[in-house]
Amino acid sequence: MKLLLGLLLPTSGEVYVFGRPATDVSKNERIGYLPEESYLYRFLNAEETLDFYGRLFNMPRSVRRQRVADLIEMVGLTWAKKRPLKEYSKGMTRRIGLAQALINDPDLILLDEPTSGLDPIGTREMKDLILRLRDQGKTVVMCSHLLADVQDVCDRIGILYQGELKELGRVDQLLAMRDVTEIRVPRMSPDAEAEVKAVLAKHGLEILSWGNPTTSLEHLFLRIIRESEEHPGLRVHGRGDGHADRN
Amino acid sequence: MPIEIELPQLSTWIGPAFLAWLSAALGLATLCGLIGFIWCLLLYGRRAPQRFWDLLRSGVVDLVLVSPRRIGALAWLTIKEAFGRKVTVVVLLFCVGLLFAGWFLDPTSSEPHRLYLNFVLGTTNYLVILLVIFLAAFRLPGDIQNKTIFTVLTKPVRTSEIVTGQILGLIAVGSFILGTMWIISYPFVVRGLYHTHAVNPADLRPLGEPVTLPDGSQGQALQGWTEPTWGHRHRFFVDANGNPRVDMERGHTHSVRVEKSADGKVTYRLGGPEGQLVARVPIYGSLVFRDRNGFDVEKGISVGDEWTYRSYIEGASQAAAIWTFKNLKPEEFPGDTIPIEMNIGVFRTHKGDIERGILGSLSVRNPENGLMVELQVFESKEFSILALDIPKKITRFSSVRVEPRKIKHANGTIEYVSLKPVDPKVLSQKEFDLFRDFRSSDGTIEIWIRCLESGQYFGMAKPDLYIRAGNRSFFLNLFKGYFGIWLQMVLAIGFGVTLSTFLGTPVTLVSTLGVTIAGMAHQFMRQIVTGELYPGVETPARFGPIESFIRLFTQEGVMVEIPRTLGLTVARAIDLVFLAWLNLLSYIVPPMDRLGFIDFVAYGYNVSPSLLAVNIITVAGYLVLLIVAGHFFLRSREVAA
Repeated sequence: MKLLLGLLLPTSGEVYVFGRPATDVSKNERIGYLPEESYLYRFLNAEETLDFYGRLFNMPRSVRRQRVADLIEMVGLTWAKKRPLKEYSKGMTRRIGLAQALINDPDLILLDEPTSGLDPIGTREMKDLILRLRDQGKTVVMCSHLLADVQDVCDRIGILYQGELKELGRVDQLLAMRDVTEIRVPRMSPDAEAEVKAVLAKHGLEILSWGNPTTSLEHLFLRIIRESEEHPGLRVHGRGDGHADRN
Repeated sequence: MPIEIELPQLSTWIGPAFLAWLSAALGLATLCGLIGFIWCLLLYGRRAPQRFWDLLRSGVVDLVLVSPRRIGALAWLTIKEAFGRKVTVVVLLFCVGLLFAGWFLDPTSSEPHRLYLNFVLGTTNYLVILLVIFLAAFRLPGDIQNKTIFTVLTKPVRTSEIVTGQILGLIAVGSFILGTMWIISYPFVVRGLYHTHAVNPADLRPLGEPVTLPDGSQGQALQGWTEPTWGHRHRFFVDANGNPRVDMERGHTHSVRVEKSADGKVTYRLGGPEGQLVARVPIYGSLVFRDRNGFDVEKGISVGDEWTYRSYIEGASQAAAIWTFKNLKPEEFPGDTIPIEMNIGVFRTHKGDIERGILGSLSVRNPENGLMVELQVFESKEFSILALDIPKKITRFSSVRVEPRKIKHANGTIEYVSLKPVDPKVLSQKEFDLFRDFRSSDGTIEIWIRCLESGQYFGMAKPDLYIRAGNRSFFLNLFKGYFGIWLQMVLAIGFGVTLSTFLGTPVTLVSTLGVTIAGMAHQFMRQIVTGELYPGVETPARFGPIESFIRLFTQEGVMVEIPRTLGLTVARAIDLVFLAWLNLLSYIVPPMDRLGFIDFVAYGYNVSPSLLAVNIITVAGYLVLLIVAGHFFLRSREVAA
């Protein structure tokens, strides 16, 4: 990513972005970049931060003002826009970091570990933001070692190992297990279950697994949080069935 | 004049200075280009010429296509960060310094205004320069260390904009600090020097006989002394009309207000000091000497002083110092006289009356026809300024004559400077007009100074005698003094930021401090290299570190000959290498000692627009090169490595 941005020089080969050499700073006009850590000036507040980066894009004051307000609202930091970044939590810093990456309404967004160090809520919000950007037609390139997040938000992935590209393609195609079939149906009755098993046996097919699918921990956590906000005072009895009882 | 260096004139300085700048810039560009090309060859092999050309072209494009808005944003960021680092504490430190300054600034000293001005300007100088060096050394390396530079560099920002923005931001911070100090220091100096004296009318004694006034009443002139304050008192006069006057003492006088009570009792109330905080405007002439045989020479004689700033003329001989002032116009001097001031050095071969100065004479001469009169005899004042007046209507004079000037060439032939004939009637005139009789058609007047006592010598340099054209505002001159510090500060910032583009904080700090200290000692450095420090010494290697150490160890002074052993020869050979490096260094580091105007302000001389312009252009020349160098250094650096 640093090679793409011209922060590092290649030891061999050449890097071009939008048809221009990576060392040509004018290519940055169309790029937004969120570094691994949000390397921002901690003595500035959110408004000042975005205004500063807006000025680096040579944006006129009126355009900047509108864009800064929109982005702060988009990342949900309106309530903290006057607070210096040194008072921000990790999640807030990542969100303002993403906002600075979008200040120029870029065509290409480079995100380096966008969800690292975030709590589940922050992670979900960040992923939702990325998906929203995708829906707006932006090209988002992210690198991450949190593979679940990658699976969640990416359409295409590449796998790099020791500096070499080992795999590249659409996620659904790369992850598809073509020699295994999965059928999901809601509330299957015991009779139907028996019939299905009989049909499979008739065709000589071995059942590899049979049971209820599990949800992800992220979904469980978010659901509990959502329900907790809807029904304050709820207590968990640890039944392990994914449901909590009102006491 | 106490500013004992040759002051450059913009018109004569600009041409050679520009050529020197251009050759330095081209030399630097060639050297950097060569290093860059070799680097490319090592990295890219056969593709090196193409890569080098691409890098050079894009580097130049980035240097030119800068955006003021981006530079402004980066400058604003630097300001914001500096104030976040509590730079205003320096102003508080300065204020605390001023609060306690009264403990050690002695107002009873002979020239307290110099003491006060040197203190405020000197303190400001050190504080501000140190502050900006620290800020510059931490700014960019701090960004690289915190990696905040990554976010900036991934925007369409040119490295030239980063360097320029940081320099401008730090200049703005330094300007704010300096401006605040200027505002604070003015009342401190004025209030610190404020004093007055009481006058007891009963102590005044009659001076001369009573006179009858126009209204028929009797008037009596009085004289006496004021009461002492701060270790001095003033002679006090009251003329027959009752108008009081206070004599100048320690460079100042006081205004007097007369109050009469109902019973006719007179009280004299003196105001604060006047004439102490001034900004004299000197008009300088050119100086040549006449030797004891009456021939024009470029320099006077040496009396063995190692410091060759002044040349000496022998007393009771034909020797003279001749100042030529050009383009003098009567309308520039509205009064009846032309005030001149002198600061003449004296060398006595015998003590004489040590309480009394050495006698000298002042004459004026028309360079066109050689007409010359001696105007007055004066008593020299050593280590202080002697003020004299040349009347426009000359009625008191002596030795009217036509004085030829002659030059003796190396081959022994004597050449007389041609003169227009003088009407003999003129020589018997009883009154002369300075501008009519002694000014040539091109507006030139010569002023001659002679030493009248046998066996004594007057020493003079060009700025030692000048015509005082008037005074300018002291407040403004104090501002110029601070502006001189500002110029030094700008250069320190320029070097700090440029060095920080390829060095870490500690090394930047030490390097910038080194450049600044070397710059402050620039003149001294040149004197060592050229051997001017002790003229007559056979080799500048005598000032080298090895021989100096030998002399220190053997307790031999620099002027003492030591045996020429093989060891000394080797030591001098090594010292010559050191001196060659010092010579090179003296061409690289800026002459920061010449940028300041502290002595001008402290000694009460106006900083001329020409000198201001020379110093501004000097700083601008350095700054342009520093920005270009910083741009290429930062551009060639892998900040994420």
